[in-house]
Amino acid sequence: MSDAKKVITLICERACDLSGIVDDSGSCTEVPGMKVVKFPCSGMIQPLMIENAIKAGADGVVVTGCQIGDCYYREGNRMIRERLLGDRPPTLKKGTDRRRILALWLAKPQRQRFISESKEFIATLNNLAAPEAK
Amino acid sequence: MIKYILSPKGIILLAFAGAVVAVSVLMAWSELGFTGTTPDWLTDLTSRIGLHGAIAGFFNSLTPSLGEDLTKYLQGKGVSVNPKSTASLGDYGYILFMGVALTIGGIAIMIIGREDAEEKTVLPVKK
Amino acid sequence: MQKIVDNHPLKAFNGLTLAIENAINAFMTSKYNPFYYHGALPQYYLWVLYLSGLLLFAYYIPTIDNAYNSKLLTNAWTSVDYITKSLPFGGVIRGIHRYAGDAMVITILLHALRVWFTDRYRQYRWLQWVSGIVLAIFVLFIGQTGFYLVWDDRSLLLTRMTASAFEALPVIGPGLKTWFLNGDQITNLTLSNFLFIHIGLSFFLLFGLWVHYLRMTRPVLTPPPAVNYILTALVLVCVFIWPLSSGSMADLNQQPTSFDIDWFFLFPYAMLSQMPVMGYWAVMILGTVAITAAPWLMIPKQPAIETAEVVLNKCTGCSLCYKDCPYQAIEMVPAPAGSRFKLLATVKDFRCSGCGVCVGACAFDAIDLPDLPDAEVNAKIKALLEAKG
Repeated sequence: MSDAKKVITLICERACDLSGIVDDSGSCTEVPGMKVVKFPCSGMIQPLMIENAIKAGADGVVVTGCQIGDCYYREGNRMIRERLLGDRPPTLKKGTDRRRILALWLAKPQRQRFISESKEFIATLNNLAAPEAK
Repeated sequence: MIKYILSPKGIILLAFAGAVVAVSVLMAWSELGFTGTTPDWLTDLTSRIGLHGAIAGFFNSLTPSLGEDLTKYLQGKGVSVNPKSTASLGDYGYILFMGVALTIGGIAIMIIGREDAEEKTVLPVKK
Repeated sequence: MQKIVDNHPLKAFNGLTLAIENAINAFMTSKYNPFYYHGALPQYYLWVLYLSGLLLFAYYIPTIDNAYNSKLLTNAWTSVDYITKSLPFGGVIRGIHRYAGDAMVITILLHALRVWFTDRYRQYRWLQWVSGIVLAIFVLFIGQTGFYLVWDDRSLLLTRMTASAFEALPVIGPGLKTWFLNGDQITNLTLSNFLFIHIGLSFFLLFGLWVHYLRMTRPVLTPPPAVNYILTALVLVCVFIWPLSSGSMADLNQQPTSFDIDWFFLFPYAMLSQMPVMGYWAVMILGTVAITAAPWLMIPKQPAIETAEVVLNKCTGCSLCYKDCPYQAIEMVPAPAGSRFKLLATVKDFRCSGCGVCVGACAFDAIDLPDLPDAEVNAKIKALLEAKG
């Protein structure tokens, strides 16, 4: 197990602007251990993708969409929020460790908030026991 | 319940509710044309709890000050009502206080309700 | 797979809009940010207008009978005077009707500017933009007829200006004027026509709104109650601060020459008074055509939309994508013979925005964006996690 926690963020390309702090390999330069995968809309994120990420060794997953109410495609961020909360199918599987998932709803100018929230999230991950699989 | 009322939110809630009630009472005072008379429903209500004297006194004290100011403002804006009708300048005061009460109420709801709308969703851990 | 159009001429305004909204979010939170309900704001004022208009309609009399400046006669002006001065709360209701109309124009403008600045008006949204322009023109015209109905000297001047502007148009001009005045000159029938236009077209707005909401799954029709309270309060406070009064009763033998202008509804008349009538029509018609064509003209080279594609042998016909699609671009059709399932999802390409919400809704990987298949996303996630660093 490496020291830094591996966290992946699945982010809407219209939500908080990470251009300039993400290098070519998809790592976030401001948050150590953070990988970034962009989507056209956070509504495209499947709960299955989150589960796959955790299965593939991610310590945590941050879902980032635009401010609730401001989806460019009208409802995408509401959809994924409802899916994460289990109110809209398809939902996360029962056994998924929900402590390892965080959802942020941030507008384009809110980069600092993204960085501080992710760092805080990584700190809580450090306090969690290692996943049983390891 | 009592715990909620004593929390910071509960205190804000009570303060705003008090403000809305106070402004709403001014609506009742306006409705009768800024005069000192209290509407029948208020007379009845306040008599039952023995507060009628205080309320009527309060209303009477408003008439020469606030009532005078509002009347002067409206007349300055060219508002006139037919003295033979039941319309009165108080209608405009009524609408003003209604607007103020709605604003206070709206702000109060926004303060109380804003907790639900966060920029972050932490998933509840089901067990 | 970058989908943000970078050559949008209003990119700077997009940043400005987002910055303003971000500032509002800081103290109101997204739940109460009025910008996130910008389409529902004029809709709310429309209900206020219907209700207050109904109360005014009960006392309004659409005639110009005996307009000899006698206040003892019954006509449009005296009925409005009665509403304003003798009816309990009549003046207040009239004020609400006027200021809610102004507020509706302001909120429509806000709505239009926001969708324009944030680049949400073109391609799969063209129907919303075009129907919105038509609705806005109708709202302006309905509002203007409201100013004629009061029948004071301003109404008379506006009516004469409109009639002569119509008359100047070639071919259809004389017919339009006769339709507008309900005859060759101003008579009692003219005001009946104005009342009919004012109320009849208001109900036509509902039809227009139906078109405006087509292809919108779950349109946002009402702001939250707290925002509604503030919207109502704004109108009520305006009614007190700027109480309404009519001008003097219209006199057909006089020609009024100037009037107070309500900039929200009467700005076309300010233009009309400053330029030749054909120039006015040219500006109005060309301006409207240009704004209506904005979805096609603003961005010369719009990238084609990569529409979602159903993976035929994986689709189980569960309808989840159909329910979640925000643009009603997915239709469930009977599955072909021999299929294990009853239904099959199909994508209507001309409605699809390529947003991928259907991909998020599918538990069977049966719908994909061709430029970003979910298998590719999963592979990328895996590769990123296995990479060193």
